[in-house]
Amino acid sequence: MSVDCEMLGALLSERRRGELPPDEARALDAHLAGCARCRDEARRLEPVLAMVELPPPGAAELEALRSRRIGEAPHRMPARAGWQLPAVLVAAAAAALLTVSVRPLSPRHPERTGAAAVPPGAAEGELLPAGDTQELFPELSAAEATDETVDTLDDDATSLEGPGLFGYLEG
Amino acid sequence: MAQSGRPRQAPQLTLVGRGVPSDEALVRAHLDGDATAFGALVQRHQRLVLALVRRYARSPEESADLVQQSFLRAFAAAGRVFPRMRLGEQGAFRAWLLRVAVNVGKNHARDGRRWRLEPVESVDLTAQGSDVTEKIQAEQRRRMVRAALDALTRRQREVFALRVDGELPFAEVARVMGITENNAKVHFHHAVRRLRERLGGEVEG
Repeated sequence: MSVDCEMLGALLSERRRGELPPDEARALDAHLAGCARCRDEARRLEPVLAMVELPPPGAAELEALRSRRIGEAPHRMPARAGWQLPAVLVAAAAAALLTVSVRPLSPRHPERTGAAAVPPGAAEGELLPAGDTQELFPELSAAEATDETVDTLDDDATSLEGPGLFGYLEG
Repeated sequence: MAQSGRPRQAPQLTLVGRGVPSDEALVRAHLDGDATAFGALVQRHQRLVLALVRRYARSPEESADLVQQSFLRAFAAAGRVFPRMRLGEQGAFRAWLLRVAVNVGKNHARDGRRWRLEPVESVDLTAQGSDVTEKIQAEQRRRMVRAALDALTRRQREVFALRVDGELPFAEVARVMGITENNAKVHFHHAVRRLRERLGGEVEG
């Protein structure tokens, strides 16, 4: 079994995690014993692999995540007057988010290049229904749709472009 | 998303393992109007999403923000993306979600202001003696690594995030990226080499 020097970092990473099967681990050791260049490279790369690892999330991080109750649907929005303002806020947040999260119109879709021709929410699936949003993201506040959110949208994080994605998409 | 004019049917979940619906079955259920399906996907994947975004956060709250943002983006795009997803192929949803999370982290990182004005108050100074020193040093290392990651190419950074932060085997990294496993390993090797160059003398050994 030969070892590709261009994959040395990956092999070291696998060995560090105990993922290398015994035969591949032996092949790596044999290669390092005979290849001074890789041996030197391994000596320099192994500390990097150790340095870049993050400690596991702490209790505070996990609690912060739990407290968001993301994806939970604990209740339907009651039809009480007192809930109308939050509903409006959530709708505003969703609308503001929508305006910046919709993928930039592509020349490949010339039929969708006119904002007037595509009223807000008309594009299938690109609308955040306020009720559903509140259920799935109960801690979502109007602040989520302010510049805190906007500045992450230079690239559409859900873009279908890029390596890998088309491999899982029809059409 | 349920299509108008079509009678809504109860979602037919494909079971994997011991009665656990697959991601793809939950996606189908979500499209068919099951209000709980997306939440089930969140519960299943939020720890992995947290792992992918937390490097770029200054606080536990910000980590949670980025996780929430990732799922919010996924939820917002679900109607557009899910119907085109190859749901017969196991792992399609997870691969897409992980790419969303990596991109959310990357986009967040791009705003250098979040880091520049981040003095030591982010370090817990209530600890005593050497604990404080160690924590400050750890925080400094964390920032240096983060800065070094900026020097990576997009693909190197994505492979790095999925492998180091997501702790995925290279076979799954390759699957998420849509490249071969060997290609993923080569990208990773060059990423680590470039990090070594950037971190220079800060690296022990």
